[in-house]
Amino acid sequence: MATLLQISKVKYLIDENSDECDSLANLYFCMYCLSLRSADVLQHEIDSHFCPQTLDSLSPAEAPLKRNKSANSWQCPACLHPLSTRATSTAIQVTDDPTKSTAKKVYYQACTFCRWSTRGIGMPDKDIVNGAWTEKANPDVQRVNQLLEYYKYVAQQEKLDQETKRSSKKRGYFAVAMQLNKYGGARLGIGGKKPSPLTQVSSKLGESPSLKEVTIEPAKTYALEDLEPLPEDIYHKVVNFAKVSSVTQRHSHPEHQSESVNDFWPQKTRMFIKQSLRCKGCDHNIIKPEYNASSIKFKIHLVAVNQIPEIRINKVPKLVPGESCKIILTLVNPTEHVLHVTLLPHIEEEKTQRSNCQVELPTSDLVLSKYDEAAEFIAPEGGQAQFEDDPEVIAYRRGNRIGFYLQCTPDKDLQHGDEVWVTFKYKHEHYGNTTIVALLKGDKQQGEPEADWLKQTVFVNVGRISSS
Amino acid sequence: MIAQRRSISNPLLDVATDALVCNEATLEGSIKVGARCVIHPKATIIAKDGPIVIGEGNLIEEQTLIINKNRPGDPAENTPLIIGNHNVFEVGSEFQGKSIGNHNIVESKAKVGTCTTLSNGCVIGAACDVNIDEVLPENTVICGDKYLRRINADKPQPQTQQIDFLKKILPNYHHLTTNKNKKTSTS
Ligand SMILES: [Zn+2]
Ligand SMILES: [Zn+2]
Repeated sequence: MATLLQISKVKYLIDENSDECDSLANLYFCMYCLSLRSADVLQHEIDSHFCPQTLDSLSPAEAPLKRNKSANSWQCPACLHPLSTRATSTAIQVTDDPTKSTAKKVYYQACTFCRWSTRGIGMPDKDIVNGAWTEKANPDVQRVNQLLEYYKYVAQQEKLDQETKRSSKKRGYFAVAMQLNKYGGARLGIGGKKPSPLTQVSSKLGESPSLKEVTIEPAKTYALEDLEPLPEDIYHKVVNFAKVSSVTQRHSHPEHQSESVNDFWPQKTRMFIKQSLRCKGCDHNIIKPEYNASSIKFKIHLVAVNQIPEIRINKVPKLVPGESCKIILTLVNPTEHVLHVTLLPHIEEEKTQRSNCQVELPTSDLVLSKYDEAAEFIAPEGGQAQFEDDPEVIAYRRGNRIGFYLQCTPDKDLQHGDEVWVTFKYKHEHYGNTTIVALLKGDKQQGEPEADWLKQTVFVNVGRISSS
Repeated sequence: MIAQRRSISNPLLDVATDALVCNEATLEGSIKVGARCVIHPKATIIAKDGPIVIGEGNLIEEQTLIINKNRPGDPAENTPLIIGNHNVFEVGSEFQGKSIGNHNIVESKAKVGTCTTLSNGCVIGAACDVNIDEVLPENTVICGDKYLRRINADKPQPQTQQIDFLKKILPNYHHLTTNKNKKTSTS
């Protein structure tokens, strides 16, 4: 994939003001605002949590209650690989007759990658496949709960204080509602549908304003002198790496961080999330995956490579400062419409100048035939004839892509090894949004879809100066 | 093309009666294969710097390379490479050491160089390349791209079931090398 290999070579301007640009493969296209969007300027939202092993989905509200952990998938404490349950049979003695014994199926968990097993740490085998496994209790769970309770108390206290302050200023309960929002609105909403401030207030009014005071003991601190000195042999003792856990292993169990590999304990698999992206300008979804964890499909998938004709580098001759040369760029049409593309010069400001190459752009329109999924299965004949291509401009035409010549002269003061950047704009039609938007809105518009003209600015790194 | 060197033509080869050595495996030099061993086609065992003695119940899979090779700098003595019992050499693994105990597993594409000795119950994880001058302690597991080590509580289980299965299925599709080198059974 040329796009993948040239990911840093062809960059598209996203924002005129910030001069931000990125490869088309990293960009999204909002078909309502008709502009490119980078992941940084989109709103990231959590759609659902799912277990990567069992593919169980949970809503964002449920997941924190389960501590973002899967219900019955476990991971190896040594290598984080999922553990698999193994069945084996052991002989147990029949209670009535000590001479007889029967075989009984028991289960243990083992890692297929690093061969860690629950038997290794002396965990007894279980009689049932699922449900009998427990996590090691968090030694600090009480303290964490205390802190949580205390935080809730402090938050409520603050809220009450604000309430009284606001009401003394006679600014009405809307201000209170805004304050309530401060604590209630921290959760990322789906679809931006938060309960209205009014309903929040009325629900809060039911509670009694008098708070039960919660006190908490601050954590103990130690002075440096109180600490036990390091053992004397700390710098000389040979560490047995086979018995000491690695930093990664400790960090994967933040609540235990066992130093010895003998203290490892199976842990529940962490949940993954499905994420959707929303345009901050128009509040429309740009990326919306299917809710179902086993589906890799998207409901809405507005990535830029599917919407914007793409520039790729095809062939670049030796680049010599001050000498004119002909480079071939490829233009690919990903849409199902015939597109007309006009190349335009890009005048850069002195400060942000990226290009160091004079470029002569073809003046005629470039016509791109539409993307056809079946194109590779049918003979390429026939399609070529309908376009009258100027051989001075068009290097080749193949399906939905053309190669065109660009006359470039790298600046005279460039040195050997310097990167040569070509900058230009292009104008192209954009179909699709009118029909799709109409469909989404429920309008039944008939007739030819209207095209919008979009302008893109590209920076192309055509290579390096090869001789002085 | 160079004529294929097959185990069949090796007069120094000694295969136990209930071992299974495929004809397409390459066995060069003085090699003794113990009982209940299975050597897959395209495995290569070369007794270069001394004989190789393979114990019982070893499973040597395809594309495995086992060489009896002296350490660089060592005097060219004719010391044997002794492979213990119930070891597994997975597909594409390489073993060039001088000694290997029992119940070891060399996983796919793993490499054990001339300097390392495996004791018992060691596991060299997939694609791990070990060649440090040491004897790995019993039940050592080395795995992952960072070569993390751990001592397991137990040695890996012997692959008896797999060996029994292979002994049933392999003769249906491959010519086998038997002890009296000239005979090949085609069952
Ligand atoms: Zn593991
Ligand atoms: Zn938008």
